[in-house]
Amino acid sequence: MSDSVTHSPTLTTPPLLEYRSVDKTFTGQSEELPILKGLNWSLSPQVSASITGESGAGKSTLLHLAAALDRPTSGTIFVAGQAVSQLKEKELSQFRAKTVGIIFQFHFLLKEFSVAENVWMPAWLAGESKKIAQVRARDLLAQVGMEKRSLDYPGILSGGERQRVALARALINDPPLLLADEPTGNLDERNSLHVQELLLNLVSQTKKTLLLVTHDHVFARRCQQAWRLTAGTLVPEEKP
Amino acid sequence: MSWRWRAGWKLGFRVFQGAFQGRTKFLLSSALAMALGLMPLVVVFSIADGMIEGIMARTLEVAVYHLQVWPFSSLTPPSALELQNMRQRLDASYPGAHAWPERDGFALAFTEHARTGVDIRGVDPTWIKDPGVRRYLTAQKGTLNFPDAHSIWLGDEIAHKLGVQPGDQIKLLTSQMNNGTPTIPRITTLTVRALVSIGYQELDKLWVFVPYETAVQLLPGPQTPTYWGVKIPDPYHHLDQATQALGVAAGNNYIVAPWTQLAKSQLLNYQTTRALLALITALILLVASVNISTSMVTLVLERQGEIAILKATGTPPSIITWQFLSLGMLSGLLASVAGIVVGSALALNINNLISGIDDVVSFFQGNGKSFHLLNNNYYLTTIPVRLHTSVLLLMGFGTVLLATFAAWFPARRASRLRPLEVLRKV
Repeated sequence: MSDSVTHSPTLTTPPLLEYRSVDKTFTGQSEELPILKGLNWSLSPQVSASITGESGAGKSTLLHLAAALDRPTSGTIFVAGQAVSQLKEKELSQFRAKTVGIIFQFHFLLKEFSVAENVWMPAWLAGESKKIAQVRARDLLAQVGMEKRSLDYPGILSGGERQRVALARALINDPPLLLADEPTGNLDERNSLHVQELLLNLVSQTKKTLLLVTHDHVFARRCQQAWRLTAGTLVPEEKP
Repeated sequence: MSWRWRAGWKLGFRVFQGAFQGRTKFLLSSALAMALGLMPLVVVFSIADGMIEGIMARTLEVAVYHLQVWPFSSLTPPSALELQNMRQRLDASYPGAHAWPERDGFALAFTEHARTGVDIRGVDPTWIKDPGVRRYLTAQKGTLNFPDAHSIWLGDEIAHKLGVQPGDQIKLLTSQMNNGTPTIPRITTLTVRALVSIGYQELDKLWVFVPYETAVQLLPGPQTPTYWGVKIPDPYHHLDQATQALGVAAGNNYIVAPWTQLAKSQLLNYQTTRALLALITALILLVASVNISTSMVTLVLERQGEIAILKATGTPPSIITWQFLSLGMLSGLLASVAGIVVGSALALNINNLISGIDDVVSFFQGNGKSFHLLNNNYYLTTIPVRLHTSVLLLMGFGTVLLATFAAWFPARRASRLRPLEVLRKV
């Protein structure tokens, strides 16, 4: 096992996200495929970091582990001081609702619900009052430029618009950590740039911590930190 | 729990609404299949009770009375005075009780051209004035009275078989069987006064009615004793009290039998038939509920992405469970409403429907013979329909419960879905 130790450069406050000796191995039918090897890495609050790497390198896995959607083979992941890999099923829902916001490559909006409902619903489902959730959704939709489409249904939105709604949805519970997995991967260049702009501005304005996984090196470099996942560990991306 | 239920309900309700807008149409199909399963159940319960009540009420009012008082032994028919005394005692024994003597037996009825076996009922002329009798025994032709001792009323079917009308004469061949002496045949000529029907054709082809005094002449032997038929105001309650009172009034030489004993096998037979029919139709409904389960499984597969994102954004598994349970519940509710409304409509129009089917099939048979879906010999001439609100509500509730139960497995499956497994596939 390689003992890679990488840290984000600014560690004046306790990290919001920390991977401590994390191994992740996928077991196939005939062989084991190690993805992360003894990863030690952390991310300070209010910092945006991007992760690039080849397909299959384990970028998304890294993100899924942070979102507690997956568990490491060994090691511990801490988010806001919580050891997420040890959370039980009931605690996981609370953690996902309150601590992390996730944006995927595919928007996964609920087609039977309006744009506004898609945004405020996760807050309401997490136990927030409907009124407060609706007010917050209205603000977020205004911030992503979708306030006029709030009564429309996802079926009639463009790909870029859907992803902007997904961005608002990810922020509805005001999570300290935002995880974005190829959020522009399905968009054309113009929409991609628009979503990038929105995401980075919102993260900056709302003082969130962002962990972005992308193939787009230009987008990756717009984050405060740029990392590359290679051979199961993270190395700083060299600036061009 | 309540807000989670409301949240799950809201999610489920929207998906269900979507089914009416062209999405997830299979939800409607499965609800429809369940409604189709419920319809026969509604029809069975609506007409079976009516048929049992219809047949039993006729049996009670026209055939077996509410109670019967039988002598243990009777070598000779009672005299007029004995009859009068007994009638007074029985009438006075229980509030509102009315007693009539009756003497029954078998005979061969014949004309020049036809003959048939009949069941003679020798009834008191005042019996026909009883409201229960008047309700069910109707004169199809002629009038319901016995102007003289040689009068006879024939069941509709018998009259048809013998080819006679009111005013015609028929002959009855009876036999007198005394102990130790040869059987003596006796032929009596009687005039038809009325063709009667009680609306139950099995009995209409069996009965002839003669005055009690005539029956004594036709059937003098001890094999056919005079018994008393008694009616009380409410034959369905306090029957034990009436039985006891009549027993005391009649004395030790008589035995009293309530209708629940006299028609017990008939009642049990009908009730068992109804229970079997209900069981069969309930099985249809049960099989139909599998459709709900299958639809839910399909829906879970179709909505994996959405379930995954809901779970990934922190929706508790219980809300996902409620979402699918509410979908099952809504499908069951739709099936209930549709099944009960259409089933009730079918039940209410069952007579027209059967008649329509008979007409259509008769027309296409093209041989001039009329087709009868139901054998008229064994059914009421019209099927009475009784829609019991409580039973309908119970069936509706049961259907909703069944559909919800059918959704349980897919709902649990949805709530246990691991988001990552889905997200990796996308």
